[in-house]
Amino acid sequence: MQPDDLRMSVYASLMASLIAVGAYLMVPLGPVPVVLQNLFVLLAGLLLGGRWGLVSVGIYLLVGAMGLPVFAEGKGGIAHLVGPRGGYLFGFAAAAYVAGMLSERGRSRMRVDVVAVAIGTLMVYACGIPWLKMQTGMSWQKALTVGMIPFLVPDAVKAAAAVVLAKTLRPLLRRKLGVAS
Amino acid sequence: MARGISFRYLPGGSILHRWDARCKLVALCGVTTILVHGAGGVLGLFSGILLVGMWVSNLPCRLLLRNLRGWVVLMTVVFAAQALDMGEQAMRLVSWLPVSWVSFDAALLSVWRLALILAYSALFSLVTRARDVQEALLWLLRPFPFLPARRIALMMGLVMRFLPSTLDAVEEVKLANRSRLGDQVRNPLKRIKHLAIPVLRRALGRADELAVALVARGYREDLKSVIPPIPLLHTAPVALLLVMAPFAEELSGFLLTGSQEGLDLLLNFLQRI
Repeated sequence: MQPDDLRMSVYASLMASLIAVGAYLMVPLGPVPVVLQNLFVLLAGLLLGGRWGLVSVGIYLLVGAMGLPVFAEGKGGIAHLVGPRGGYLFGFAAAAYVAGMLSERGRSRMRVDVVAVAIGTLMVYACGIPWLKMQTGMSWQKALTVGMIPFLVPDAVKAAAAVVLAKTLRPLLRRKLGVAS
Repeated sequence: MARGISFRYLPGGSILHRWDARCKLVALCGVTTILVHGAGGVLGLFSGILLVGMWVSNLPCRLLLRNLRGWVVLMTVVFAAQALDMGEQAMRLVSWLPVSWVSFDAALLSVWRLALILAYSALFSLVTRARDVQEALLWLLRPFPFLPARRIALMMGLVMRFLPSTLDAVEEVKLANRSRLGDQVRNPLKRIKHLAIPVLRRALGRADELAVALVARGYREDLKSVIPPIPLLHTAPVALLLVMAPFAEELSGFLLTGSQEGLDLLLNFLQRI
């Protein structure tokens, strides 16, 4: 195993733990406090790239599947993965990969990052809403009303924060890795 | 952190505790799939099996209820969303309430199904050690040659190591922010930035030190980990479940109502075995 590979594995584990910590971090955005999980999912993609972003979310899902309380509201276990919100969790993996891949291709330019996080956020909904509809038997309209519309504004703020944080932290990570992230 | 753990292992020596974790994991996936597609009869049958499972594993039912307590809000939302029906007034349960018998039944089934899926997962977590689950996951990942099982185990260990230290760092940064009146800032972007950047800087520094230490100690991935084979007897319930799955509805119909159709199917099924 190459030292750079090992270092990236450690960083991916760190991002997985940050995604888990994001489930505990509540920031009031408007009347309802929201958790910061998606922020760290997008950040994992932007900082580590598509492949390692996907790895970090995959590890996060595995740790959650083992029963550790790393999912939203301190939940854990297979139930959460196969339950109504499972689609959003699998959507995190797709979001990290797509956001990371686009950011890499666009050489981490700000405009490309904005598009990448927007598409990444949409990927979460693209996986989460059909899953929610299938599990609960709701109509499309109800699934969208319950599972997407209330979260659009907070998700836009989190996506913007991910772009700002990635811009600030990339030089630090580059110094540590010695390569462009 | 410990307060947040709702699905946790409870030591014991019951049959369910001793059942191989890999078989339990496959059985859980099978049960969940059947429940997602099952109607009322299947849910009734699996509710009975769940109670037997709780009795066999010597676990009190209130423990299961305590595990499900955190999901009450979600179940209420699902029930309300399913039960609302703005259709004809003549079909309504009560004239002033937009809920029909059909939508009420559908909502009840959805919540019952969801509660059962959660209860089976809680039972799984209560009778299976985290280490056994980790080994079961490694065993499940082994057939995929492109997935490095040992590295995944290392990364899962690292996540567990980083979790408490990151939570501590978050608390420290929050306290420092409060002491500088950072919690008075209204702009949500600034709030997130002021919290996340110091936490990430510290975390990256710690991760870097750990990576250097791993390289310095000559970490290797080619060392083999030994996972014992599954005892044949442990696979029998899983095989039975997989064989029963296509006939679950008819079997439950016979067991719950004693219908002739169900009896014929049961006899047919037994003959095949």
